[in-house]
Amino acid sequence: VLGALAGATTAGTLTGCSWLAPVPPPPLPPDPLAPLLRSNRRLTGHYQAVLAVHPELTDLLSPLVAVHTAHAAVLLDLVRRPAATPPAGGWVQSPATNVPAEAADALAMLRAEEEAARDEAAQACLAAPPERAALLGSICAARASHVEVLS
Amino acid sequence: VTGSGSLAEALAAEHAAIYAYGPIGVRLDGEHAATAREAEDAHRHRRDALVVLMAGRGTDPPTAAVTYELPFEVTNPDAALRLAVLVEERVAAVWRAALPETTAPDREVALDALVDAAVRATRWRLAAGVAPATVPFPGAL
Repeated sequence: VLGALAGATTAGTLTGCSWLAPVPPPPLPPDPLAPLLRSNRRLTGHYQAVLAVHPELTDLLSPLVAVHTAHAAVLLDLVRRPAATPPAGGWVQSPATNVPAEAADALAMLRAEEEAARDEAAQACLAAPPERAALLGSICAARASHVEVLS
Repeated sequence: VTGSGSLAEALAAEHAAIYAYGPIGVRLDGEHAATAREAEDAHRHRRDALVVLMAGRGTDPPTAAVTYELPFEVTNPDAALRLAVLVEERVAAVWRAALPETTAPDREVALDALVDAAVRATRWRLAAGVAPATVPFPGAL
């Protein structure tokens, strides 16, 4: 009897959508850290683009890239939401990044981006629940330290 | 607003930092001496602001110790730069620890202090030739 009921239920599900459209589950709200992860990935992509054009900056920039990579690992771990899955084609931005031909200009570009990223992390820290405040404060401080290195 | 204790601990760390910049400044000259003076001034301003903040809330701000034991002797510029890095790392750690304990507007005070200390630690690592000059999570000891 149970088996027959289960079969009937399955059949009903399969044919029922002709008159009752299935409602998809609501998407999870984006994690407030998702924008921070996106800017992290964008920034890392820009560092890599600069390094491709100016390999002589490797000693200066590699440690900064390593810091952003460490941030990405922790942020990804915290977010663990569909919004954090890599888009098709990967995280790294398209080669449309215009890297200045002069190394000094390329560094100035990265510095401006780090300044914006620092301010973004500060806002995230101030708005965060207690359990995330220390981590976001450190990410903000690290981005600020990058501005110092690039100055 | 802040849970009891974290601002007092931050103030104690600022007192210690101000003390440490005495022997640090003595061993440095030129550009580094100027950087040390600016850093010491920044810590003094932060201390004064904290004292006013705590007194305004009826909390007794902790006073500075007469003397502090330095982690190592500062007998040359290299040691002075190393101590300066250490001082800023410790100050950053105390302010970072205050972040989860605070809400607006105190959290902004703590974040500003953490960021300033981390930037100064980076500046001192660059001056000391320490590589890398940055750490992934400033204040996380």
